[in-house]
Amino acid sequence: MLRAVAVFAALIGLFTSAALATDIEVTAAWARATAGASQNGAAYVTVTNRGPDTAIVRANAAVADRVSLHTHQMDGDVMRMRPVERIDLPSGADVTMAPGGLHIMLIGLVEPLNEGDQFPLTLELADGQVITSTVMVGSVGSMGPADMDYHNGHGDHQ
Amino acid sequence: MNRALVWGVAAAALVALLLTVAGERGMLGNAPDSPKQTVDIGGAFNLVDHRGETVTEADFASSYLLVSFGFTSCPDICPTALQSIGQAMDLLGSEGARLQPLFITLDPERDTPEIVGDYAKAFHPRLIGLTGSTTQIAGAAGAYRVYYAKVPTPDDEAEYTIDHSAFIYLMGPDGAYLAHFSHNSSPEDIAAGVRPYLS
Ligand SMILES: [Cu+2]
Repeated sequence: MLRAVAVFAALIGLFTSAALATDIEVTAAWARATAGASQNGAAYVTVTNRGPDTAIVRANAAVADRVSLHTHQMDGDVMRMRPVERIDLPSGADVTMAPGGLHIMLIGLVEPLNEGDQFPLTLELADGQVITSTVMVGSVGSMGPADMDYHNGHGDHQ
Repeated sequence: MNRALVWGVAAAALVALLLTVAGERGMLGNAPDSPKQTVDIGGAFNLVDHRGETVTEADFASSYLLVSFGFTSCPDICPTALQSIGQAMDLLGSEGARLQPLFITLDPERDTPEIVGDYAKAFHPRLIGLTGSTTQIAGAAGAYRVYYAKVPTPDDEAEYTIDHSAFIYLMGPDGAYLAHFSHNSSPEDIAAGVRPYLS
């Protein structure tokens, strides 16, 4: 069943990316399962930009009350999590979000995220593009797609 | 003359570089490499476990402790550290029988005994989550020289995050500081750093 859902999601991904002919491609989108009763989560994406410079200026997901763009600054030994206005997507570059740095903060989860869940995440770009991708939920301490049974369904066609 | 000057400058630069590297090693290195010395970190604490029971250092008198600090609304740094601690416990297996991992919240206002207990258990069944009053937490954080500060989030007055230093401390059964690890140390590094003390 899960596999069928994943295949279906991948097909939809193929269809939408072909239909929009976008230069922006989200090649990985993942989050960690909620540990205990934690109210917050974080999603990470890898974005490839084959078009001109742009930036992520907003993110939306129905799984949380509020979604904001965050980074971590290491100040000596102290970790400081801070909102950022935008996440730059330079032309020709891959931007990979990962724990300890840039992330999409999910504040006030509507319900806990469980390993194996998927949910839609929408990214709004500075040039007006809106890109929706499917976030795969890994384990509570997952370090990324390599840890997960994650198959990138729409990364390498063309 | 000129040649001597060049060599002198080069030698000075090399010394400076070596000193810098040594300094950084000292700061960041996992302590098995560092010289044995008494470090004034750790000591008595008085906290509350998931059942609401008081817990002090005396409850772990015959154990080594692996102590970390954080807060459960932290979705990014804290899970990475706790996952590594959990995997290090698995790597150590029976060798880790006398090693007790503790996660102490720096957010006692939001992290009730149940919340912090469940959070810790999600990473490893042996990981104990501890909270307390703001005074109790300040005491424990002070003993471990943990910096932490509540910072309001600009987009929502009701929300806040907590800036904090994020080391993982290995303490001996006598309560003495033995070593520390960074929040992004790998499970292998933690297991390898702890193992010599346990055997
Ligand atoms: Cu965040």
